[in-house]
Amino acid sequence: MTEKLTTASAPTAARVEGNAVEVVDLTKIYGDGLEVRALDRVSLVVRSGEFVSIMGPSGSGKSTLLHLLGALDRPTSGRIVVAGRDLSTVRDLDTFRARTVGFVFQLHNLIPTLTALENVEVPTYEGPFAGAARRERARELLEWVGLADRASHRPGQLSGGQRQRVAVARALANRPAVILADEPTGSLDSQSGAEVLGLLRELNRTHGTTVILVTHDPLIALATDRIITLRDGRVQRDQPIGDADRRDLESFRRSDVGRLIFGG
Amino acid sequence: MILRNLLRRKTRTALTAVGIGIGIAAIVALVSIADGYSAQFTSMMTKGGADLTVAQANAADMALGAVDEEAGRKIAAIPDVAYVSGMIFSVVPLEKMPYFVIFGYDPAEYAIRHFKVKEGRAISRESRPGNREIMMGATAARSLKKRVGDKVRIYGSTYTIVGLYETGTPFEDGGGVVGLREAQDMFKKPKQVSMYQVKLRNVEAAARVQAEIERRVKDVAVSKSSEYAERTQDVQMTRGFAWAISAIAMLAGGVGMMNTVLMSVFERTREIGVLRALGWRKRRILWMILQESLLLSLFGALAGIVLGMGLVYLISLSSFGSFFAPSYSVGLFAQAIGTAVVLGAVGGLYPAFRAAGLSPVEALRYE
Repeated sequence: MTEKLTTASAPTAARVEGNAVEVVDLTKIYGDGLEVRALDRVSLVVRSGEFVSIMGPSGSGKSTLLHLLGALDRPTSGRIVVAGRDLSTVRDLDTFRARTVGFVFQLHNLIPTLTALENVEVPTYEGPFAGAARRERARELLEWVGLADRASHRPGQLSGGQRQRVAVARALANRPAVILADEPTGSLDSQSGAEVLGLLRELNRTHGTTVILVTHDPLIALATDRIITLRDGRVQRDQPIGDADRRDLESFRRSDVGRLIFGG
Repeated sequence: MILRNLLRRKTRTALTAVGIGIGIAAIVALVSIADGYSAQFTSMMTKGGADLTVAQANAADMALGAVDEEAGRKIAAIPDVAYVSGMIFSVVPLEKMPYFVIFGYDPAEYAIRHFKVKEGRAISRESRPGNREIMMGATAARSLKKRVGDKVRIYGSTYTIVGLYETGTPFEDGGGVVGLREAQDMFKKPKQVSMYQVKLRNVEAAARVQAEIERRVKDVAVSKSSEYAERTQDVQMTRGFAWAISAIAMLAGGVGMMNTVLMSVFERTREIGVLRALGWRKRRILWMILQESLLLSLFGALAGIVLGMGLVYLISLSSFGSFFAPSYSVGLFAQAIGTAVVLGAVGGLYPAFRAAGLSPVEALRYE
């Protein structure tokens, strides 16, 4: 099936009816002898159009959670429903990964031998677009992230921030319902990181895309609308962030201790 | 994308291609020589116009076999046989050449006429001890720097070169022809020939005459002259060796290729993990790796064909060169490329399955 493209459809992800993500009693245990409980009966709901960050120290299970949401791995027990689809009943997980979710990783996102444009095109091979429409879609997305002039550059010729922007464009290739980002700004300097975060925020605000990102950086987390904190595989806190919270953060940042910690 | 993946490590790709190329070169060189060997003999058998060739059954080497002259008489008596012509040949040392082929033909019989005389004349029945005659192939005369009228010594006897001939078959052009009786003396095979060439009055009678010969004469194998060469043990053994050696070389090249593709899969573990996370199914990843492997072996095939032909050229320049008239055919190149493709497919299958079977989560974690 070929999709007809209009300017309005540019980066939009599919709109989801109901909740974007529902997780019930999700548990993931690794290892046969020495058990590692990466996730221990986690339950949460992410509504369509939310901008959520998942925080926690290393080993808290945040990346595991993201991987399970993206069907990269199977849970030990519990239920995962993404965009209305119960993952335990989905037969074709490859198509789910291609069309329902879009991943952005921290590092080594792009295929080094392909140009930026070709990289964005990669998911479309398993997507609804066909032939010339694939290229067009990739071009549109690259334009949306502001890298149309870099279309024929290889990743090696792009800066870290530019690479991540290409990665975001790529994640949107097949109009996914949810964007899953694992520390997308983790390896970037503050300016590039802010650019990428800005992209994600615009995606969420203007186009209503559900974005779930994992981060250890409180500044990044505070730019989202809701923070879920994990610790030892369990949900510790789950709180929306409002403007009041951001104002508090700003005044703290301007204080001496704030400047000590966050710089500036 | 496939090509670009191979070009990531140019040196490694090149070396692996050369590894495969050596195997392909072996096929091209050895099989073309074997083909040429067979083609030469077929040409020798059929140029004289013969329809059937009669030789000793199960002779290990064409030059070692012997058929009694009695057999020749019996064959001549069969109806539908136009004429029977005996020929004997062997290899003798001659002056500077350690291997010189001597053919013995009866000057009065038909078969000798396929030696087209270029200079001088053909040998005659007048050849006697004290005045022995030999006619020499043009190539041999060139190598030995002999002309019509010069003399050569073979096994203590002196022969005068009465003429030079050219048949177009390197085996013959690199040798010489003496009378049948003299050859029989020379090789110590009195009243024997290496084979009989039989011309039929009626070609359709071939099968019948063949059966009749086998009934009347003991211990012989009869074949259509055009098929004779392929049936002989030495041609079959030459082919067998050619393919056996090539197979070994190809195995080595193939193992090298599998290693290279496997290494490149390992190096791209994370990348493959990302592809899977983006929704690429196992089939697509498998096909990608397989295509790389096929392309690699195709490069090897091309390199090998060039190498092989170069190798044959070098051999032709050596002193053994006159024996080898390599025969290149479209079939040979098709076989070479076909073998490379099969190698690419088989060798790439394991790495391709490894790549496709990687668990996305573990692949992503790979450093």
